[in-house]
Amino acid sequence: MKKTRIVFLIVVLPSLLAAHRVNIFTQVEHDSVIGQCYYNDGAPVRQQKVEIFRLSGERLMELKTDSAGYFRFAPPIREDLKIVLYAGMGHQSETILAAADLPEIKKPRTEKPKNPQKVTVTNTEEPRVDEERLRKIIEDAVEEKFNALRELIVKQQRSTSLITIIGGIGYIFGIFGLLLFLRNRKRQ
Amino acid sequence: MHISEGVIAAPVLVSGAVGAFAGCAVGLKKMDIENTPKVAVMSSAFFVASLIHLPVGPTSVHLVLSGLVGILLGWMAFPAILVALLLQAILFQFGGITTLGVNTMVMGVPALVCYLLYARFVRGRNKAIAAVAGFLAGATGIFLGGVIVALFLISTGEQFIVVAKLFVIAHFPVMVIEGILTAFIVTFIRRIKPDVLGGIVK
Repeated sequence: MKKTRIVFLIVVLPSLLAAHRVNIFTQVEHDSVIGQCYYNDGAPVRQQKVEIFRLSGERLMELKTDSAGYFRFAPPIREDLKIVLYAGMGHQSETILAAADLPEIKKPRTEKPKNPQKVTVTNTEEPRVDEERLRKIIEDAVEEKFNALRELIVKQQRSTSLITIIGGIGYIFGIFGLLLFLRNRKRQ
Repeated sequence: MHISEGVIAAPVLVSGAVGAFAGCAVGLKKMDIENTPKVAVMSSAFFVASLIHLPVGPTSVHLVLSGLVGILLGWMAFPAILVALLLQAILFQFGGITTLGVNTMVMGVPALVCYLLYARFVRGRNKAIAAVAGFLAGATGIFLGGVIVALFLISTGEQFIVVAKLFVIAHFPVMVIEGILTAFIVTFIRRIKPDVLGGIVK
């Protein structure tokens, strides 16, 4: 009991404290979708429920984030998917994954998809590379860079900038100023 | 402290909105021209407080300031908090537009309770009692916020005691920090500009 309490304090507590918004960031790698869940200060959302829905509302699967806030699944169908993250204590977030971004559903093949590193290694060993394999290598490399860039852009979009904060304060003064103005005019 | 969109069912959202509307109506009635600027200042302080992360132990926590806003504004805390939450929802996606009413209740009701419980002590003659009342107001604001979040989440099938306990344990450091901060601010205001505290009550 004591042990679980300590685990709770170390693992769950930090994420709860930082919570007022949770984010999901998804990217497609080969034939699976990888999602990263984090609170707005960047702390990972650990061991929480994630559900995948069709847009019609039908639930397809239920997952759990790992200790680093990641989840991974292979989409069973190629259509728009809704991913909902339940972070507990009233925190929830959802995101739509467009069908166009999803990997093609591959028919079961005897050949397993290769790891990008492995491919490059075999590549150096044999001088002749067939076109399909070369294309795959390039695609993998581009995808990797692209995903990193996308992650950066999404995170930047969601972070709070000083300009927004100052703008917010300005809006508040503006709203109350308007209120003052209207009341003053009514009085006169 | 902010409940996200899509968590709570519509009837509960509506009841939250009705409560917040009622609170704001009373607050706006009490808000005359003289103390409108004060409400605006407290509203923006509240707006920014949620963005201030303090490093505590292994993690960072953020301020809420519902106790302080309550002591200084009383019923007027409702419009102040509503406006701040609206902008937090629009600009930072904290909470959300549909949960605006519910979240206003989560932070506004503790503010009002703090006002009713502690304002007269904060305004009292004794400096030490005022500081203690300030501390209690800061801590109570967070504590009651957790209780109200748990109450709202009952509607989603969560167990009240479980959520409330979890919330209070998780927010214990914030309660202490916010208590100390509120005590300091109250003491400071008493010394520098006591009419800010006294001029509120009509």
